Amino acid sequence: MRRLCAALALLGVTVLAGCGNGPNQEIARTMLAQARLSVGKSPQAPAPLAGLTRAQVDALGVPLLRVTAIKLKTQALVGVYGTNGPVTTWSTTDKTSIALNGGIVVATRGLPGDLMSAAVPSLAEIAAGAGVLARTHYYLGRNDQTEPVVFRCTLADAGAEQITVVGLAYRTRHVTETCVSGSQSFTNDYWIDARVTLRRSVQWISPQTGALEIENLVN
Amino acid sequence: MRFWRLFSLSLGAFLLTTAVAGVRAARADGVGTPPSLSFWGVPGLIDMPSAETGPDGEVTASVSSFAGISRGVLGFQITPWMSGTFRYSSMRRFNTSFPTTYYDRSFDLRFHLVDEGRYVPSVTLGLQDFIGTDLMSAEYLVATKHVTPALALTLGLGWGRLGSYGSIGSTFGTRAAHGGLTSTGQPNVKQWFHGPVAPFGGLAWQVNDRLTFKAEYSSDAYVQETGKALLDRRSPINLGVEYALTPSTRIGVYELYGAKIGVSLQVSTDPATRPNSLMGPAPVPVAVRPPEAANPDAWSPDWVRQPDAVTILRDNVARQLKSQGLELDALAVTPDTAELRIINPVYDSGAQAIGRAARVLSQTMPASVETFKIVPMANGMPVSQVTIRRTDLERYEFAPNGDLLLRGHSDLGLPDPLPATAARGVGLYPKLSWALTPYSRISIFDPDNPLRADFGLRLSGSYTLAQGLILSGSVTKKAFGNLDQTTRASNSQLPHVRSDFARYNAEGDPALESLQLAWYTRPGPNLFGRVTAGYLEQMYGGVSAELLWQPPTSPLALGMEVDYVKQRAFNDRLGFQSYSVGTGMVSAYYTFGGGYFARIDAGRYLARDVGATLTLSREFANGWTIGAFATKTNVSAAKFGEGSFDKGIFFRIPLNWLLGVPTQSAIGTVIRPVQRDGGQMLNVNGRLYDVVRQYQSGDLDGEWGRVFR
Repeated sequence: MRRLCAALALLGVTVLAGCGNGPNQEIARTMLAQARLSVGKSPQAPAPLAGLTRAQVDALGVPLLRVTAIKLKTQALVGVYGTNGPVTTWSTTDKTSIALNGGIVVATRGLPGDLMSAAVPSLAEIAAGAGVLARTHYYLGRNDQTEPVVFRCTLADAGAEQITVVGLAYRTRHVTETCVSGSQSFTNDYWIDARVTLRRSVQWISPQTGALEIENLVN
Repeated sequence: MRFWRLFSLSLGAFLLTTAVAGVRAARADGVGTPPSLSFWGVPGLIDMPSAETGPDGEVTASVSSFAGISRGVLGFQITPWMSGTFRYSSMRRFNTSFPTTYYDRSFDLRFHLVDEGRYVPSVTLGLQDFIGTDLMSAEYLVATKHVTPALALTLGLGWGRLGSYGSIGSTFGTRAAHGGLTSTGQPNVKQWFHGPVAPFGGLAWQVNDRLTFKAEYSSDAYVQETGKALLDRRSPINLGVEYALTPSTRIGVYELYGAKIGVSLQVSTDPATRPNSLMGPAPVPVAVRPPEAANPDAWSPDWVRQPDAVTILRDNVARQLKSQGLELDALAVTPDTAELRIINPVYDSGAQAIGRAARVLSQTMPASVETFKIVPMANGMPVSQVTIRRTDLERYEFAPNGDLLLRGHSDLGLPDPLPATAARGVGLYPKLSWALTPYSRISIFDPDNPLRADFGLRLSGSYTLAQGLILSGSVTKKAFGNLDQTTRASNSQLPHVRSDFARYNAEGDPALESLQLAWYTRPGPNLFGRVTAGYLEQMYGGVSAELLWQPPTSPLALGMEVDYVKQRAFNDRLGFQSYSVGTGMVSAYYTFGGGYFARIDAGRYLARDVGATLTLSREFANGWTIGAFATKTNVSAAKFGEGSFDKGIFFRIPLNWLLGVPTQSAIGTVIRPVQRDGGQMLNVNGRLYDVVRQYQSGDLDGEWGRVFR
């Protein structure tokens, strides 16, 4: 902390940062983090979780998801943070959370361009593997106002696929959901097993965050 | 070189925002890229304006230079149909005696009269340097039409400077000469659209997203400049090429008047668009109660009979609030209601703080508690009360557009009185907070050197003795800078209430900026009160008392303030000079909605002059503020001196907008073309309106989307 103060004073960073016991320490940390990024170091690679084994997952003994933010190049294990009816909120230890309804993302918090709320198809509707559905995402848009983005989504069945999630193999059906709203488009991928449980998915969140790969580590 | 230093520093904050940003909202109308700027810093060709208009709310900064003439310009698209410009110009070798460089401040207003249609061109009316000397003044009516999406033709008629070359006639007789420096700052209405009128025009060809070629015919004869041999005007034709480094940054190189090479740099930003996403840890989820039918015991209100129930709940709530960055001021509970008073030192959005407090209550309150009353505190004052039904919180946490649904079912009103059974927060008083931060003190527009600055460290602290009773102060120590080199002495005929600022800046090292005791109270249901005593600001010490009437959902607030202050010694230590004065103001504040805000102050100012101040500003929900003010008092223009009356512009950029992290800090400044002594107010810290507005309907509803963030 004292070193941080000295460094900032030396840098002559005016108006923006400093030190003390107030709530503004976060700013100093952010500035240093951005300074580090700007000198070329990339954020931590997702390496630590890549070697995760089923034995380690079982040893933890709690429901877990492995979430990979593909564009942001980060990966984390998330555990249950709260439950509201059919929606479960999952969080990392440093409080980045995603809320899933039957595995489908309905909100995120702590990611760039958070999905504030959403009206999305149910897993059962997606599992049908055909048809055209609507999906509405709500974001804090221009001037922090809540703005809906309405997507028109087309489902397609990409056939049976066997996938492996941390040492366990699942026979799944691969369903794709291709969504378009104006010039914006994305494709979500769902791997659904015979019990209509989502084992793995790639779901698009926002332009800033891109897509999350979500792997269900619950047996 | 001085000018470039001025530019790099005075617009530093702005450039920082765009540098961090590197983003820019696409134009709403989707027609091409945003208009490029002329050498005068308004949408235009090279030295001539065009009729194009920026997106609503756009802020631009530009600097251009040719033939020893440099202009640094800030522009703001105030409304979709009106834009304002502040320009600082320098001309080297303009004066024959020292200082040989002439500096000029000027304001423009542009009115967009007609939008471009399929056959109709866009049309704009411009008033250039409309309250200045006649050196920069011009009026114009200009039309621009895109013949193809890439090729725009501009044709206009100019008066004043823009009617000085190739005039085709005169309107309204001759153009009266302006009264010189003493009458600067007066609107030169009698000159507008008078005298010779000349056509100008040109074309801009946008080859692709990055490259634009421009050619124009200029109707500006540069009479003064050619007379002083600054410029040899050989041709009315100017040519240029511009390159967009990013969608928000442009550079250009030009050939002007057949003799000179010019360069320009233009940057723009949209205050409504965040350069970095709103970040910060996720809030705690809403805890949903089990159904009453399935679990009647959990819903029993008997817990309230437990003697230490309220203190146990208070401790639980306080612990969870802390994890959300908030503090507990007090908690009162009944079997079905919880009233929670919170202190929010972190979030710039009141809605975000209230939403997190509601989530904490859902985690901690027994199931029988259905009503959450959340009262945000500001400087010890309960400001307003947001009442949320717990069932709604549970229902709308993940509902599509849930924030709007929750607002529709919540009430904003006056805080209920705190019951005697309430449990107070622990460790709130006394409480010390302190900070050591770098500071900069900048003096602009000194005729000898348009930019002087000091940099150093500021130690500030605040010690809350009891609820609403706050001792605070700050000390600065300069590390390096050149403010002490100012040699200009004030020539003001009024008491030197502000114009000796250079002496304070030069001699105050180290400086005791302030050391004051403030008491905040709520004397009535819609009333807020403040009394502050001590060393109140850089130049004054004394006593200041204020009363504000502000109902929680009213767009109108009324205030009054009386101060008795004595002028401080130039060294900013404990001493005083002999000048003392009683000042007083009545104030009205009004939010029009849509982010437009007006304020009127009327009363007695520091130089014992009497008059009124009008402040108009545009305030974005994210906290960006840009505004202008003007004060007219019973001091005559001649006695006031250069500028005729006090006026200026100001802006505020929240660091939360810049960085995305939770913080209430902001950067900003007030820019006056010239600092004189008429119409000057006391700069006391912690005026009531700014302290309480975060939790009134205007600010709360403007950012309600963040209630679930």
